Order: sequence, then structure tokens, then C-alpha cells
Amino acid sequence: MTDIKRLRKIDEEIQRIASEFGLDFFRQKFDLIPSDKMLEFMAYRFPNNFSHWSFGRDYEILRKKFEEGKPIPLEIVYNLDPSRAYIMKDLPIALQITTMAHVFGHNDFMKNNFRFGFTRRDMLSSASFARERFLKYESDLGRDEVEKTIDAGMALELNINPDLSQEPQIEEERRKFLIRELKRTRNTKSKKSKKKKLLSLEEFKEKTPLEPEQDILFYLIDKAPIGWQRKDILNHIWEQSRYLVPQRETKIMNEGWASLWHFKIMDRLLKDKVITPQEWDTFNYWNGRILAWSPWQLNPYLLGICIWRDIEDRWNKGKFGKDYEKCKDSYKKKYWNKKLGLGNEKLFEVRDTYTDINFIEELLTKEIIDDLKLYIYVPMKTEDGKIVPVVVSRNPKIIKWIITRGLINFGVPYILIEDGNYQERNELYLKQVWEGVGLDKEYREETTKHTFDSWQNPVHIETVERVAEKKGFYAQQEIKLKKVLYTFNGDRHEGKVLRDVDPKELEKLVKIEEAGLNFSLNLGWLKNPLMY
Amino acid sequence: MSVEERETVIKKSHRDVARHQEKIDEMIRKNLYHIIAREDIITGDKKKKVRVTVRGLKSYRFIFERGNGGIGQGEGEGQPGDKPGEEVFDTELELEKIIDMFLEECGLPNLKEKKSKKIITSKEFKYEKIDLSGPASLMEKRKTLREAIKRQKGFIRQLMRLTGFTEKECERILIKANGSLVRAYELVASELARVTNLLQIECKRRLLNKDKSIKDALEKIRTSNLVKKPTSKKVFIHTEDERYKIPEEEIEFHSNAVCFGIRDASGSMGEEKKAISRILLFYLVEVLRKLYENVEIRFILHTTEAELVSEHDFFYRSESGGTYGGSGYALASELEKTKYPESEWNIYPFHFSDGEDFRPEDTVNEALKLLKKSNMLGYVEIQPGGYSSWSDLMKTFEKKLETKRKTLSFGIEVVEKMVGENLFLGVVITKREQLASVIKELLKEEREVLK
Repeated sequence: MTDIKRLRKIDEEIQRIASEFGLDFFRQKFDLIPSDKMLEFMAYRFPNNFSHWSFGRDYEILRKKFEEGKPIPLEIVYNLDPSRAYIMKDLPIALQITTMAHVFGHNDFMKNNFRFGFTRRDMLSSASFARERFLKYESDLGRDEVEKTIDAGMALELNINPDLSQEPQIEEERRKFLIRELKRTRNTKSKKSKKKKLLSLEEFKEKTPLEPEQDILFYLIDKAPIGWQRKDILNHIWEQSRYLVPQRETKIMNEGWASLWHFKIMDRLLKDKVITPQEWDTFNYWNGRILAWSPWQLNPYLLGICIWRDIEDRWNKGKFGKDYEKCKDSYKKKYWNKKLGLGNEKLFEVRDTYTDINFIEELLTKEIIDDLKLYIYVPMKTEDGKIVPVVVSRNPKIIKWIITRGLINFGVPYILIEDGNYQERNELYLKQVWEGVGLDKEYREETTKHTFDSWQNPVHIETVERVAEKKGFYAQQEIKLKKVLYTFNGDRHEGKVLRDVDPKELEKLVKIEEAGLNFSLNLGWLKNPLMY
Repeated sequence: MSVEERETVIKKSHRDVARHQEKIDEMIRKNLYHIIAREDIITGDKKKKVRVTVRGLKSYRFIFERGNGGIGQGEGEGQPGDKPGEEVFDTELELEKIIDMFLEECGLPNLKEKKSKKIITSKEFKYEKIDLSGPASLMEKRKTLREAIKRQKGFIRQLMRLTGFTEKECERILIKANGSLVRAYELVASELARVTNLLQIECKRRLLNKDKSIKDALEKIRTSNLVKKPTSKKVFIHTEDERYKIPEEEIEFHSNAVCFGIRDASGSMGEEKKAISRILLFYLVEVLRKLYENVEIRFILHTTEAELVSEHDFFYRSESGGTYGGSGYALASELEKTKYPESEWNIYPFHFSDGEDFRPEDTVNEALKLLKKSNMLGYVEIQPGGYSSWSDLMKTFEKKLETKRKTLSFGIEVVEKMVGENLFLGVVITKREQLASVIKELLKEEREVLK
């Protein structure tokens, strides 16, 4: 039997087993492709995606890793209906079987998790149409113009509204709707609404955006004074980014879930003698590698699978609820077993209704953190010039807090458009909602530059920073939190401290900073959230 | 659904990989000044590749100020691993390419070249033209054979037209006639004569005139030995086919340049000063190599007395003793007289010193003597860490040449003056960062110089 025939047969076996386990998936199509093509898909996010230098860079990085023998993902799954997965052709057959089992886990998750319900499931063809269109724009507008626009789109990729259940509205339509509502309710003003500061009708007609807007990219598409081709480019990037939102939001769950089920399916395949013990060994070796501890990084596969296994175990044994929480006897707690057998049920419930944030918040227990030996580190240089992580703390509360925080709003700063007609000169006024950590200077400057390219008018961004101040010649320097406004006017960056700020507001800022730890976590997968 | 194998997939990343590389090259170009000042580049041979590390191009977006830390797993006993995050690209560039890029940045240097200083030498013989006669040893066999085949084919066609036989048959006749068309006619005619009872001459006449009366006779001789008996294939070479190569002398115009590196070897020249002079001289020589085919470098070290030394000594040796730069210039002048006459060589002396000199007046006089014979004389004063005193030497040069120093960007001070057709250029360098600018200054294309 040739490999491909065997794989087809095993595909059927896996489907049978997965259905028995209760997984519910779309029809699944597998393509075996050569490794360099695989690397390309990973770098480009979609097969046949539009052309941009940053994908070329990512491809080079991946290729180097692959050539140096570093572990890279072996397959990609796309959230489509029917689902589509690409598997590397040159792998040993045991790994191909494993990845197939893994893919069914992802497939089931994407079909059933509520966050995936809002995405369009025809993204691949949309991406390849976009490629054709962009190439045409290149011949119309010139390569630089298109590249610049894509740069801008990619820079603001994460500044979108992550709530997919709302279709964004074009501002003018929404304005009409709101004015109608305002006129209707004006006659029936209650005392309460009189106290609130309501905008007058006149103000309403001019204000843009109507309320502080998180979706900067969509606002640019709606309002920026650029040609339709460039708007189309931005729009497509916006759609791709929206398509990837659920993947960004459920990376830990999704990878954990797929790893959990591929393990179970492979176990079953061995028992049914579909695979040989030698193949099981190969699988086991590989499995150990992807679930490896990493001193520098959170491994979403490992964290995910541990939480899922913990859920199954706890709900099987009844280790939840008031009685269990109140129990102080650690011995009793360890061997707690009510034999409820609710594990499977709970697994599927969590799969359907959770995202990473509440998954971590509710279900990452102190015991798991201890078991996984998670720690917070600070990098330090040793005498011989190597950089090593030095453990600062193993406090489970803080660790959990940091992970959750890294997940909120994709781990990027929360920035709103305050005004799209600042100083009545069509200037864009952005404002960072203060969460205790400021913006990175280099990245802020370059991103505002990119934004300027599309907005074509000065871009301001208000943020909070520590500013050194001297009162009087002999006084000591004081470092204080201040509101700072940075402007890019197309030529250079300017910054000024905002003076007329309510002191009470500044106090509030200080409190927020003190409440949060000054610690930001960079989660690698937010950059490229594909499912492997 | 199914598992399928897909072989024929077209790669689409070439374009973007190339664009990315373009961007990286651009970055290297911007950082060239730092790369130039690296000492490890100039060691070893020119073909070697230089590793240039470029921080990866980033995809910018709004991010938080980088907290250094993160979350890891394990015992945390400080095992180093691959720290994720910043990607670094190592690009390997040939040293030659770096130099070219740098020279491009400087603008093509316009070091004046004296026209009389070209030497004609023959490099080798070329054989490009073909002649019909010549010595046997120069016969171009392929071409000759080709001509012969061409001509023989023509003969065969001629025979075919006259006799109406097939190509193969005609070829046989021609070979039997030893490749001669006239002989072939005679053979055919004698055969015809045998069949028709006509005279051979008459037959030949009728054959050549394509007379219809011998048509039957021709059909008859088809079966004869002459036409039917097979022969081996042969090509006969006639004198008109012969082709000969013509030897041609390739003449090259050589231009020679000699670079006199003169360095102060007194104790005051510390390591940093030596390093700077080393890098400077390397690039200056590289530029000369771009302009002249034959470049020689002579290394002269001087304290109070000058000495001709090896390259290694020139860059690394230190001696105790006083300083008299004039001795170096004098030695260079002597070399010019004996080995590198002005009429054949373009002469470029470069003097590296920290400015201290026991007899500055004499030194300057010697320098001006040499300047008369050089295309350009460069005097580089190295004062790392800012200079402690106004150096004697530069001051004296200023006085003697009646010019004032100019301060340029990066705090470089320059004294320049044309003496006759020859340029004097004095530069003061205080920091390694100025290196690139100093080289640029020395090689600048357009300069306004007081005559």
C-alpha cells in the first residue's frame, strides 16, 4: 500500500474515532505539499496572499529556522467550510498521521466555538482575488504607493474592533440614525437625561467620529482622503485581520484542545493496531518536543493541554464547587473523588463558550502553575556575555494576572480616535487609554508615520509618560506622570506636555499605574495567529 | 473528505524576498559609515566575505513600552536559550561590494591622472579574424571543413540538376571523381559515350547543355558501376576552402600609480592612532586600485630617520625616539628618483602623524619638494580624543602654503591648496566616527581650491 492510500484509509479511521469521542467537525480536506511551499504559506498567512516585503522577510526567517533544524510547525489549518489543511510532504508518516489527528481537533474547535461563528469562511479565495487586484493597482499607482498603503494597513492591523458580532457602520449612516433617534427622544426628556451632558443637535451634525472609535483602520477606510484603490487595500487587510480575530483570541485553548485530542486519537489508533509501535514512538518523541518547557516563552500548546486535562480530571472527580473550595485539608483535597464523570461534558461546554481570557482567568489554577513551574523572569547578561532569564517571582496570582493582561485587546495598547477633525483642520487625534504602561517610542513614531501616509493630514497621539521637571533653578528634578501629546506633521515628530490637565485626572493616572504592575508581556503568537 | 498530494505548486515568494533584500541593502548603505570603520573588515583578502549583521526590519504597530521580562517555564536556573523577539539578519557581503558601495556614496573620485604616464604593453594574442591563406599551423580546421562541405554540397546539387539523379547517386559520382566537378562530368560523359556510341566530348557538351536527346542514355547509365557502386563518404578539401587564423596583438594601456605610506613611528603614536591610519590607508589604496591597473605601495616609517619597511611593520611597529617627518618625505623623494620616475608613475604620498615634529620647517620643505612630483599629497593628522595642543606640523603647513584651515561637518579640519597642478590636502581627525567623512574628503570629486 502506498503512503497516500494508507493515509486516506487512516483519515477515515480518524474520522470514525473522532466522531466516537464526540467531536463535531466540518468536512476536512488535506493537501500534502512540499516543505518550501509550506514555509511560504506560513509566512504569507494564506496561500496565494497578496505580495508584501514583510512576508518575504517572514519567509526568510522561517526558511533559516527550517534549514537549521529548529522546530517549526508541520501543518496549517484554515477556518473554512469545508475545512482545509496543509501538511508537509516530506515528514515521516507517523507525524503525518499525528498532524491529521491534530487538525481534526482544530476543525472541531473552529466549528463549535462561538467566536468563530461570525467569521467569513471563504477567506482563501478572497485573499487570492486581492492578490490579483493589488498587482493591478501596482501597475496603476506604482509599487511604492501600494507598498506604503499595505505598510499602513499592517501597522494598524490590530487597531480594529474585536467585536465581530457588530458590523461596522459607515459614519454618515449612523449619524442619520442617531439624529433621528435624538429628535424622537427630545420631547420625552426625563430629569435624569437633563442632568447628563447631552450633545446638542448642532454639535452632533459636525462631530466625527460620533463617539470615540477603536476601529482606527475602518475609520481610515471610511474617511481618509485617498483613492478607491488604496481604500480597497486597507479594506482587505481589515477583513483579513477580522478573520483572524477569533484565532488570536483562542490560541491557548485551540492549540491545547487539538493537542489533547490528537493524543487521545493516536492512543486509540495504536490500540486498534492501525499504527505500529514504532510509529507511536516517533509520535511520542515529537509530542514531547512540542510540549517542551521553554525558559523564555509561554508555550501555548503546553499551557492549553494542561488546563484541558485539569478540567477533565476535576470534573470527573468533582473537584469543584463550594465544598471543594472551602476544604482546607490538602491531603483530602488531593485525593478528592466523587466519581461524577462530568469531565467530557465540561470539556465541550468550555470549548463552545470560552475565549482565552476567561479560560485563563477561571480555569488556570494555582496547582497547574506550580506543576508547570511557571515563573516571571527578567533577562540578565552573564559574565561571558550570554543572556539568561533570572527568576523574579513564582507568585501564581501575579503570573495569572500578567498572562490575562497580555491577552486583553490582543496585548496591544487600547487607542481610541478622539477627533477626526482636530482644530477644524482634518487632523487625526488619537488617545491612548491609560492602563499603566506607555507606548514604545520607536514603534509609536513609525506607526504614526504610516497612519499619516493614509490620513494625509497631521496625526496626533495623546499618551501618558514620565516627564522630568525642574521647578526653579536650584530645585531638584522631579519625575512625574504627565499627559503628553505627540504630533507627526509629515515632516518630523514633535512632542509637548499638556499643561491644562485637571490635577484630579493626573492623580487618577498615578493610581492606575500603581495598581498595575509595570510589566508588559509580549505574546509571540499575536503576530501570526495561524493555527498549526 | 480526502487526502491529496499536490506537486505542482508555483512559488510566489521570490518577489517579496527580493524586495526585502533590497530594503536590507538600503539599510546597509545607511550604516556604511559604521561598517567602514570596522577594523576586522580590512584584514585578509579582498575576495573574502564580510559578515554584516543587520537588525531585522520591523513591522511597526502601536505597542507597549517594552517590559524586559516575560513568563517562562522550568527550574529557571539560567539556561540560555533562543530568546525570541528580535530577529537578526546576517548578510554576507563581499568586501569588494562594500568598497564599491562606499565609493558610490563618495561620488566617483576624481584624482587627476597625467596623460603622459601611460605605458603600452602587449598582453596576449587574439585570433578573431580569418584569412584565406597562411601557415599550416594556423589553419582553422573547423571552418575549413565547413567550407569544404558547403562547396561539395553545391557540386552535388549542380550534378543533380544536370543528370536528374538522386543526391546519393550524385554524391557517389563526385567521390569517385575525387571531389572534382570537372572530373565528374568527364566520368559521366565517358559512361554516356559507352552507351550512346557518341564521342565523349559530344556527350559532355550535350550533358552541360541539358540536351533532351541524352535523357534515355542517362537512365541507362543509372545501373552502371559509376552510379550504383557504393563508396565511403568523403569530403575533399580544395585550396579555396582553406581558412586561417590571423594573430592579432592585444595592446593595453597601463597606468601605474605608487602610493607612499609614510607614518610617524615615534612613541606618541598609540594603538588607536595606528588603527586609524591603517583603515585610512586601506581605503585610499583601494580607490587607487579602482583607478589604476598597476598600483604599488611602499611603506615608510620614520622617527628621526626614515626606513622602508614591510606592511606588517608599518602598521604595528613602534619605536622610541624623536620625530622628524622630513626624513620620510626625503626617502619617498629618493624612491621617486630611483624607482618610480614621475614620467611613468602617478605618485600619491600619504603621511600619517600626530603632528609632533622636531623640525617642522624642514619637514614642510621636504614635503613641498615631493608635492611637485606627486598628483596629490595627503597629510593626515590623527589626534584621538581631541587634540591637546595646536600641532606644529599643520600650523607650519598653513603658514607655508598661506591658507587657513576650514572646519567641516563632524568637526573635521581641512587645509587644501593647489601647488601648480598638484594638490596638497591636510586633514585633522579626532574620532574614529569621522573616518568615513575623512576618506570622503580626501577623495572628493569637486573641490574649490585656492590656487
